[in-house]
Amino acid sequence: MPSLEEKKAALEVLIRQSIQLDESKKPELVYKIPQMTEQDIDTLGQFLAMEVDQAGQFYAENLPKLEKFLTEIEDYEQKNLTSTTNQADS
Amino acid sequence: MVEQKQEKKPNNNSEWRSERFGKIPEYVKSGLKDVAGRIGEMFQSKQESNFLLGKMLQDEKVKIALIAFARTVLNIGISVVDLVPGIGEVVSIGADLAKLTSFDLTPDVSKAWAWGSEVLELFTGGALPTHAIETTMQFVKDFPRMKAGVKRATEIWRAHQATVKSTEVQKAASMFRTPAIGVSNA
Repeated sequence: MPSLEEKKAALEVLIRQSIQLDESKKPELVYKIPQMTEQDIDTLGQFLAMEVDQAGQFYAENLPKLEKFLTEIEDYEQKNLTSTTNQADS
Repeated sequence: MVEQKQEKKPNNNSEWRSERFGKIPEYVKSGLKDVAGRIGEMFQSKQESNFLLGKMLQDEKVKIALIAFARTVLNIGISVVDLVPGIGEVVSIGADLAKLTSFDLTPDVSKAWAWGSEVLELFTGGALPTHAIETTMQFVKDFPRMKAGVKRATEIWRAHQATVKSTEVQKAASMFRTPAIGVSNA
């Protein structure tokens, strides 16, 4: 069973990596951790842990599709458009 | 918002045009419809994952790419309708008139080209899908934007996936996954 201090540290990690939380509000939220009750820490922690799990699942499912799509775009360009397009990678 | 770049034309103008005409059927028939469909599929993913897509859309390159995708899909649609004599001209001319508004589907194609191509309709009895000319010219400009956006989106997702899979984040999350939740004595 993690201690309250361990949970506080873990919550900070989860807040900082979250993409659901507004970037501008993260420092304030982190600042408030010491004043939070254990129940609040657990609730927010559970919510953010769920975000981590969902993100993992989402990327496992969709990142290969996006990568395949990118490869196809590059192949298409190679075959059809190399002579007429300028690169916009920069 | 949309980048304006000068396209380098091959020296021979007629060669440049025929090159584009030659590409129309292939790209209308194959690639992009399928590709746009697949992007759409990703955007129809689970409700709870929408925020991950939202994050990606905050990036300017990705946003520009999505605008370019949407524009291409709409232009393809208009080009297909333009194959039908009569109604096709109405839609195609409508798209050309839209160049006067902020809803310009071919911002990189000059008005002269867009409106000038409609003249060709007169000689073909409306059978020539002239909007395909502008669609193709716009697509050539939009393609690098789409590619850059997809590349950027891939980078964003890879970076966040790496963060999410990191030991530090996994360890932190494991403390709040149901079995770990409990009243501590600390």
